[in-house]
Amino acid sequence: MRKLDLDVIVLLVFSLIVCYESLRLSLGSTWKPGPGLFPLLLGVTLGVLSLIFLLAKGFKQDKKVTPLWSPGSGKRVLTILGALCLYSVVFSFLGYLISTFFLTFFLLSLSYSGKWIRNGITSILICVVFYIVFQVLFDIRFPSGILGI
Amino acid sequence: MDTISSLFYGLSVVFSPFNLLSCFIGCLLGTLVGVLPGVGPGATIAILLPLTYKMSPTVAVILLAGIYYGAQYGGSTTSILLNIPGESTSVVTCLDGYQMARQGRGGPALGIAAFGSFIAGTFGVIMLMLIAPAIVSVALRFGSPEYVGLIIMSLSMVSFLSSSGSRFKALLLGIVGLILGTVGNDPIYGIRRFSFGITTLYDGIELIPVVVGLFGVAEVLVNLEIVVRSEVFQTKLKGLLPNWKDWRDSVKPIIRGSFIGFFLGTLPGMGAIVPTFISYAVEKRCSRTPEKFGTGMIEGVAGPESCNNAASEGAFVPLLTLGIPPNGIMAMMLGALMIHGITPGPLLLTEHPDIFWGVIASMWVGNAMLLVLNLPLIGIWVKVLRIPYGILAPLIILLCIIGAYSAEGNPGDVLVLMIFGGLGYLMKKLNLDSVPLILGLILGPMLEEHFRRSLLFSKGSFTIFFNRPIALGALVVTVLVLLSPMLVSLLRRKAGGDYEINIK
Repeated sequence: MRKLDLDVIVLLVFSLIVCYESLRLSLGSTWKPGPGLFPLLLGVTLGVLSLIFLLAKGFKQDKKVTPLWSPGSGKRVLTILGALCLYSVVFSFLGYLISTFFLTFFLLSLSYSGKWIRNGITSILICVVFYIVFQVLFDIRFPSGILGI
Repeated sequence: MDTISSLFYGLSVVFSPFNLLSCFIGCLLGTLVGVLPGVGPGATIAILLPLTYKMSPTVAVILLAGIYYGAQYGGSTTSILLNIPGESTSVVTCLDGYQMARQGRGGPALGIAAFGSFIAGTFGVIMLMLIAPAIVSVALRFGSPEYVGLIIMSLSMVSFLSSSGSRFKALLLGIVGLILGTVGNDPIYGIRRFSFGITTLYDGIELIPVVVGLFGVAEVLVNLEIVVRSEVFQTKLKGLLPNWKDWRDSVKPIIRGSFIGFFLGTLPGMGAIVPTFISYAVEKRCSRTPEKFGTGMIEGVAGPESCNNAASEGAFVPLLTLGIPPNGIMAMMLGALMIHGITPGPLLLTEHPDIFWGVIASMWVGNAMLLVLNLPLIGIWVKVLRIPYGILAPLIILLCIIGAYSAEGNPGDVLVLMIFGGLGYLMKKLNLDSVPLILGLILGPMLEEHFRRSLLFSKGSFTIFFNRPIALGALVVTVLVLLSPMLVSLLRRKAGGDYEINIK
């Protein structure tokens, strides 16, 4: 069985969702286009082009498939991505200072081989400097969180 | 206002203290990110974009433009000293620049790269001053159908010509970008679309978290996969000024590189990478000793380095005159102006001459600053290269977070940033270009507005896009670009070759 292009299949499914959602909006008419007409046209174009791609590719021999990740690297990036997503979820609740300290400490420990106490002090310094520069000088209001600052 | 008096007006804008300072900071930051491999001007502009909110639009655009052309200067340093291009536009410079450094001629290589860039930058500014007003006078007659044609043409050309991976998939991603641009309130009736009850999506997908995620976070994730350890070539840099023979060998490549870079840089999708390769090929062809290219020929540094700087200035032509960005970085520049409520296009010249001429004049002043800055600071840039990426990475991530959050002060945008960061990383792994997606997101609302306005104007007839010569011309170019792989393949077959039609 030939390898299918998963990314294009995802785009095909995406186009179907766009078409379905566009049809739920008012399409209007060509002389008075409604909010759904333009997204519907885009969804149809994306769907048709994805299908053409899949059909055209279906008649061709696959090239040798090389793995996307070297051993260990995928796990490392997935861990970082997981930490970043967790950070974005707890950012409001914990506040800028606490959540950013933990994130910086985690990233430093993972990417820079230093002692944990040195990484901890560096993380505190980075968080405080960024806080002073952006909240105090640039007046960007960060979430205060459980510390209240 | 004629061109000379316009230039003086532009210079009077630049020489105000704030504008001069922002030009200086932009050039300095640009050189820094150009020097550092793994931190591109796209990510830097995206990260700094929210910080420009409180600046005047002129100050903001001068700063961002400085980062863009400053990065072209900085990129040459790592190419010559490390054999690692700081910027993709300096890839070709590695070929002969690094060899020159190995032979103890790193100084003249860096020197000619800086002088060539300055000369090309000056040439680019002069051409921009001469060409831009002429295009504006034509563009003032454009209506909605013309803009529909031009936007579709630009998006197709950028997707098809600039993509390093599959061009067809890049086109699909451009359409995805257009679809993402429709999220949020409908521009005419105000009806909410595709927001699925998520408050962060009510006003549409914010540009900044998307751009910072796709460029900044994704770039850091890719770099964190493997810890890059690069050795700076251990050599004493002396005699940065090229000698008389170096100049004699470099004059013609600089002139040719400037022409090639500027004119190709104005074309959508061309960017500054392809012209540098063309410039290198032209120099090799023009040389009496083409076999010596790759062994440390100064022509191989002078031509491409002049070319990338001229191309970065040529890219401003379609943005400032038509409001259509020819590449991803210009798309962010468009976003920066739109954040300040300014829509680039033919009216920019009459409504905001301070921005138009100020930016153009700032490029010339900036190029002079870069020449003065770069040569004495090369030692510092080399030291900067020794900072471990493990320390830089968390700092870049934090800047990305602050950049995305500060745009609207909405914590939901941090999640959008991470989602697009992950998506950008996957796209990089799959060799998919994120520029068409960003361009689609930016141009989407503009395209929809002009598309619907055209249909209202023509009472529902699609023939309006084929009755207007410019709109029709743009659509014909689009079709030709899209069919170009098949046309080339057919022509080759006719010529007797054994090629097959290939949709990558």
